[in-house]
Amino acid sequence: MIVINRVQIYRKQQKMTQEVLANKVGVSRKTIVSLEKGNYTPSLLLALQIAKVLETDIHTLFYLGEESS
Amino acid sequence: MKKIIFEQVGNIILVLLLMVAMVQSVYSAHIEVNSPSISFELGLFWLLFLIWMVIFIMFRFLYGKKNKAYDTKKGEFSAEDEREELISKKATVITYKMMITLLIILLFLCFGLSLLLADIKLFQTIIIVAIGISLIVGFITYLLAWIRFDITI
Repeated sequence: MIVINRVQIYRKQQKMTQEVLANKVGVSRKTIVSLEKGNYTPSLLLALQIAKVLETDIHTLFYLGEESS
Repeated sequence: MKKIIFEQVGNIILVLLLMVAMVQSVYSAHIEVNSPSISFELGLFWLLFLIWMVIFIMFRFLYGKKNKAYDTKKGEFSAEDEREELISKKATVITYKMMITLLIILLFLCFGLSLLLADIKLFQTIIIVAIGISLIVGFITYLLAWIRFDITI
């Protein structure tokens, strides 16, 4: 099982750049890039902060998925 | 990534100078057999080591002022956010494994050389260089592991 996220989709809906989102949640832009690529799974605190900034709930933004072989 | 390169390059230079300075002192040391007196020289490399240490401390202070992601107290463990904390932890684990392996090899090397070598100064030099190189390998391992995880995570 892996954590899949829709951060990029919701961020673009909000017309927000990666840099702006990163500044709002207090991380580097690299962390947002890595997160959107699916290389990095954020902590619960960061996930909640991102959900709050993107005006959605954590379950919409992050969900469990099967790892592709 | 830049802060880790900065810190580790500085540390490597520091250890290199210290290692050479110590070897220089070992070869300049004169031990009186019949009296408890020992004399040795603090040569050029001790001076270079002290100069570099002062320069490096100043550079660290200035770099810490310029780059908020760099903490002078934490050095190579400085992290801008939770992702970098994770990278730091993973790089530390790899460095730990590398250092333990190296130290075990070094222990056997010391044991073997202590039995084989009659020249005490050569033995002292080998020990200093081996420990110095182990430290440098540790710094390089952490640096390379950090860069690798920064690219993949």
